[in-house]
Amino acid sequence: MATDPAIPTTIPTTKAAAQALLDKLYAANPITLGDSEAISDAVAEVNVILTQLNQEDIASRTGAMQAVAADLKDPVKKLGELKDQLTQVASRVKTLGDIAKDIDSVIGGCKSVFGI
Amino acid sequence: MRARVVWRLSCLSMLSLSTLSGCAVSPLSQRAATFSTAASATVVKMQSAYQLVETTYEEAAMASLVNQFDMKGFDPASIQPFIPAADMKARTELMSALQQYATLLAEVSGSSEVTELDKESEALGTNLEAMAKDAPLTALAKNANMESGVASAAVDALGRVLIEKRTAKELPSILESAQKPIDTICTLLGQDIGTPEGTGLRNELRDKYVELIADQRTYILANEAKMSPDEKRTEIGKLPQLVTAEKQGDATLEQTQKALQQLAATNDVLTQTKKDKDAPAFRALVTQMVAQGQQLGAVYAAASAASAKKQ
Repeated sequence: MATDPAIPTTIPTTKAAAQALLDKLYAANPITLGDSEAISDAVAEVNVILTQLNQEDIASRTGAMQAVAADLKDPVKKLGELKDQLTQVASRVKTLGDIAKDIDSVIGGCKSVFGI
Repeated sequence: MRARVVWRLSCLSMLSLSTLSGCAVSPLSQRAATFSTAASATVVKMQSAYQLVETTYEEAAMASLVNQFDMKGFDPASIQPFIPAADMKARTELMSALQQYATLLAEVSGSSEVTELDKESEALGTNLEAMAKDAPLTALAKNANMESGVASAAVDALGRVLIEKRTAKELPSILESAQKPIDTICTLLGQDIGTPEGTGLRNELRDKYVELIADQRTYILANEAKMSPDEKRTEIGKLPQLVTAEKQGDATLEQTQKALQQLAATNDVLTQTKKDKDAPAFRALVTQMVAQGQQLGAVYAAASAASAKKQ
């Protein structure tokens, strides 16, 4: 039985989870418009999250945490809204695997690190 | 009798010439001149490489914006360069500093005429000293995971090397003073380029192309019913073009990174061999540096040709 991925508790592990999710979305090859739209939307949100995490990661190395929590709220919320839709896409696009857990990992990481 | 005097004078002048030329072009000066030529050519290619990655990315992003008009409308704020202007300026100035350092070496080693070079060096040196305190350099250092104080000190030190008036006999001290700053600046620019999977420009470029490719596929699926077979073929053809553009952009950045490492390593060995008459290690490295520069040129030319073909 597969175990659930642990929820990341640091910026680098949350970033790694987001990068892994993006890579999985990139490897998917949807052939219907609905599936493709869901994946495009998810890619856009994960990219926004990655950009914010990169900036925060850079800032944290110099001890100056930025107020990115507010900027993360929206993409995290939208990614959460896409979870059900992507779970359905995953039933047709096998490379997505258990995408819901990957999404939970990214959302959980953002929430635990930034207290969103 | 006259013939003998002429012969003696000729011998004397030949001896004087060879002695003079021996003094003017020491083995270290010759090596510095060789390094200067190779470094200069490499830095020019590096600057073009950054520009090409930016242009290719902007073209792809523009095409994506046009495709999304029906679904998302047009938001002027979404037009963003891959590297913002202020951040690019910091990188450009650091590369100009490497270029000016190469020019300075050519000047003091006697292989280049002293014309306006002193003024250029001085102006660039002053810019660098100011830049050492600038926010874009701090941002660049952070992006490269380097202490901003270390980057700032290196830029400031190289600025001072460029500002001071120099003569040929000071070549060894120039090399010594510039060694660490050049190492640090090359490391800074190299780490800033990063890796596709991890951090830096290569990672950002990859992730941005993932989005452009996903958007292009969605555009095709949303509009295929309205497209003629030729139009559909053209739009589908853009998908592998985007994959190729991403790979070529990444290869260009990777080669730039390798060229930076090679430049720093060759400069290190040049400094270490300042008292040596012969320096085989330097010769080997400078040959590799020229080859590295040519490889970067080839990758740049391929990416440039692919970009021109799309237009």
